[in-house]
Amino acid sequence: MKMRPYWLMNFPPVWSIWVFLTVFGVTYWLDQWFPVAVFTGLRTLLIFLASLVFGAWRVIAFYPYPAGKYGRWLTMTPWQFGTRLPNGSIQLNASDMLTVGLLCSITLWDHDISIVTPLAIFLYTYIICATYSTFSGIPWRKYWLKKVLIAAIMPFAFYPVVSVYSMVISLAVCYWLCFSLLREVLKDFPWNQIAWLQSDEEVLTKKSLKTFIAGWPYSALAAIEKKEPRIKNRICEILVPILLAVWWLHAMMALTLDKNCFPLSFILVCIALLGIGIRLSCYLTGTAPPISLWGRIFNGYFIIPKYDRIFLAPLLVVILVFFAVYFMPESTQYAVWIFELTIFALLVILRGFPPSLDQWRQTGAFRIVRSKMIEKQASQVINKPKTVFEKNPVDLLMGK
Amino acid sequence: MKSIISVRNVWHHYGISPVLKNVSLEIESGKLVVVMGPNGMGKSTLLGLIGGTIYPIRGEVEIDGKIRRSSIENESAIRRQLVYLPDTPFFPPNSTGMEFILAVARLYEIDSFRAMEHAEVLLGVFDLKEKAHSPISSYSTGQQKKLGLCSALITEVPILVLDEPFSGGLDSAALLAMSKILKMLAAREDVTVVMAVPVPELVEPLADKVVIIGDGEIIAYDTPAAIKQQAGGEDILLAEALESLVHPDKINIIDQYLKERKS
Repeated sequence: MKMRPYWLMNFPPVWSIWVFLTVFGVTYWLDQWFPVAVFTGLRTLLIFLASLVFGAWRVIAFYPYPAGKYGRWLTMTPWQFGTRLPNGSIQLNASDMLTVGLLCSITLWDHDISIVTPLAIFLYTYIICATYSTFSGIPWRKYWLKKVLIAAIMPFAFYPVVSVYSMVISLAVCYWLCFSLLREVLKDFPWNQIAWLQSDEEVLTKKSLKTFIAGWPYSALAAIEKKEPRIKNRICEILVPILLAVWWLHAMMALTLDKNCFPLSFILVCIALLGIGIRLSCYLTGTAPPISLWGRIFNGYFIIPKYDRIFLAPLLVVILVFFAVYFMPESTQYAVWIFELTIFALLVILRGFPPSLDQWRQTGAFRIVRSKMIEKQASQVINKPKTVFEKNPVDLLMGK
Repeated sequence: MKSIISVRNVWHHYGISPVLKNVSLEIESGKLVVVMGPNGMGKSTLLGLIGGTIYPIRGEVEIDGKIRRSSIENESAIRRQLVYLPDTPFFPPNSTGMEFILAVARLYEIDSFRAMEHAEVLLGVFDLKEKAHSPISSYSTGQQKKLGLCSALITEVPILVLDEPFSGGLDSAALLAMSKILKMLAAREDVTVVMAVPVPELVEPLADKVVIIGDGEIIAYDTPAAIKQQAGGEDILLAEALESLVHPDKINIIDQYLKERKS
């Protein structure tokens, strides 16, 4: 069988092009005979979906994820950064221009969407997927500045205040950052072996804890000192993702011209309840109160400070949301500002209000109990084939 | 001698009535202490408090000079030097016995090679070698109990807190193995063992001290010989001493019953 030239390896499979053209052709033909808006909408949706899927496929099919078959296989090969990736390039090339160019040219023929839309959607999906993919295999803090910059610049591409030029510029900057990020990450390949050689015990211990393979109570009473990060790092770790999330929310909300269509108070209450639920489930899973409610009432232990402190953050959120909803004006720009500021404060409280999860787990006044959820998770641990990363060093040395 | 475990004025409730009432206990380093008492009197709660799964409503538990759950550093240090094996631990059913034991060893930062070697020996001692690479779900209750004991022993920590290690369908070979291991540990100056047992005879030759709990309070805490003396004489069994201290009328009731049945 003749192999495709390298530059064409990233071209989508022929069957997918046939499927796309057939569906597109059928909707076009139906539109000619039955000119209803739904068929035009279907074609627009089809182009939108094709750009989106292609952008995601370009990363998922060509990135050597450490847990994936391709990544595991590549680890065993002598591949090094600087030579061609055997399955095709992860970075964009001429075949991508060809594919996206085809999608853009269809929009010329079918005028319902702008010519740059398929390109923008493709680039968006590609950059998001590629940036997200770099989190696997290497510590997520590595190259954090580039990741943060990409996340911060991307919303400019659709923020309505700016023009089409800034959209192009922001996408170009993001792509350049993403390109250099991919290069730096691939330079460290194979990440698994590096991690294993650096601290095999640490990695394996983390895995044991994550999969609850040590059962109960060993997993809950794990003798691992989790050092609290320095305050500066902790503030950065909490504030930067929250600021980014609120910035994305702001840009998304700015996209919709009619602000009145949002039931902002309702959304705020829902987000607050969801946030409180997530925080409490993180803190309370595998624990029980030191004493029952009746026990407290009858014995006069109304407040147990070392236990009740975890309810302070949810209480603050309830008060905050109550005031925000109470003072939120109807259908004005201020309502959106109050909404966004409240979301910011709410996230900061839920994520950063003491005690931290590690502090709580080691100093909280709770009982450690067998949790059905954790037992279910531990029961799902199966003896699947292990990667170099997951193997016990002894097995590895013995060639198992 | 220095106390390695101090339980000070501990009160604990699960509900309205207290399970432990103002319990204080000092356990010296290198001793094997057995906690005894009737069911539901607070033995497992006391062991849970020392083991770290329970936090007292009042009072404090100090391990090697560090108060439990007082700070991340103290708690981590305690967790590193103490292992607690409850009566009913949870084993991941799809993992093999060997995987489970090695995972526990890893949590206690035992070197992989050393852990592997120790695991092989332990599994051999408890007749689990053939099942070592089978999923835990295929183990019988007794085999799971043995696996639990292996997991506690592989940690090589200086403080072992074992809740009813002799119960749960252990066969005679495992009882013998456990008794011998405990005897060896009891002889060591650097290992402290605290355990709850329902059958006093099994541990009488091993125990340095016995704690008798009744109705949430410590009724007696002394050597087995001294406890027997306290209960009425050195010739009586430890079980009889326990009964006469916890339920003074119980032996009379039993004697009365036997007398009636004879006549």
